[in-house]
Amino acid sequence: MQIHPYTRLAVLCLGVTGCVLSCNLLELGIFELIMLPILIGNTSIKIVIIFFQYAILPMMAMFFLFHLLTGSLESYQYSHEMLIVAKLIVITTLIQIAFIIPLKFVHFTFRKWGFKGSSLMILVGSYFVWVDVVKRSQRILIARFSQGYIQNRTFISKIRQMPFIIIPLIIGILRTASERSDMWNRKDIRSQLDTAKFSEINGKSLYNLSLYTICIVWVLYNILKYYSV
Amino acid sequence: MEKSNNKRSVNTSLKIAFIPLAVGINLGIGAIVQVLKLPVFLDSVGTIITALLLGWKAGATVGVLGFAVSSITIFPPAIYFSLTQVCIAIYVFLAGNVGGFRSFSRTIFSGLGLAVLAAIVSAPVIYYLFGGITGNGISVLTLFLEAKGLSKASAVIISGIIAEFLDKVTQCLIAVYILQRIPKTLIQQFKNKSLVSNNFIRE
Repeated sequence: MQIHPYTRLAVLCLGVTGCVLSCNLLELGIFELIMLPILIGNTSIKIVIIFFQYAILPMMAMFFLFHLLTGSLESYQYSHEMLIVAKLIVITTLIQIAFIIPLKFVHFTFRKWGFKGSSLMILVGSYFVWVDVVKRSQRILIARFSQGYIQNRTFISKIRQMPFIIIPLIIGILRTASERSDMWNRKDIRSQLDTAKFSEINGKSLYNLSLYTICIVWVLYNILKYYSV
Repeated sequence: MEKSNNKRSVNTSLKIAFIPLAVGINLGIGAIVQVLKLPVFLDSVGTIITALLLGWKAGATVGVLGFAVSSITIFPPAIYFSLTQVCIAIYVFLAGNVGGFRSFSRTIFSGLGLAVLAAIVSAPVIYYLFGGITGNGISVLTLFLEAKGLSKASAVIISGIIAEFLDKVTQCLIAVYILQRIPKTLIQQFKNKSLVSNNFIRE
């Protein structure tokens, strides 16, 4: 079950509009329960766990501690923050559904979204750059470990290494950019990318049509509710 | 004519190759700050460097793409601040062309200007879209100011300006520090006017 590029855009635009208009924790929760299995089916549960571990839980802990220290745990402000957190969770799920694309469909998806030539190359490059940067940073860190500059492998000592990682990282990036531009010019990659054939997705499948329906119902419900109030 | 076309093609290829990697710089530093929940962003270093190396359009592309990718992974509201990134790129490009990053004092002055601009552009998004809370360290400052009796709008603007001052000056200093330490032979190929006017390379 693959999501078509147009369905991805519809999920993002309609879903986010509905979320912005919604002010009900329960409704947001129900919509999240519908969308979460789609996200997990599209990628893996690991990405959801990482998001909760590094973004939502620290955020909630931060607000909880703040209200505990100021003695305002029961106030209206607290429920307002819960609503914002709930919206962030749902919007993130929608963004992840729209933008987490299986490797073999990345080219097809961006082409369907209207990108070609240089813009297509920049987008595809940016999409995979995270892995590249993490690998480069790890290589520099390992080199510093092996040279004895870092005494222990704790998180704090790694953070302290940031200034020593950034400069070699950026010099490496500039060198790679220069080498890649030479290579791409010689091979004329831009025109090759425009004509290359990649895997396609059927946009009229039941799965894609159901996604459209869910999002249209969600946004219409929220628009009607917002304007009736 | 053919030579000129070839030169332009090399420059375009360099842009295409550099922009995704600069997005990586934004993401790398921004992700660490987000995980640590620090009251700064440090997510525009790549945007500033690119605007100085390749001009405002490339800088804006790096900023917007960086925020789009960041939204998928670690900081969901980032995508709504894309306009701030475009403004940062334009400001840095203009400041760079008049030598705004030539010395330590000029860099701090440019950073202060950037902070005011970023705070003004970001404030309506934080206030209207997120009700004052975006989920990073600055939200605590906003809540603190609100708890002290300030209105939500005032709390958002004041906390935004305080955070942006610290953040943007730091980012400008980091970007200049990096550009000064990059081998001259490596950045000479970018041939941007601002590199000469800020003494990163000689004409």
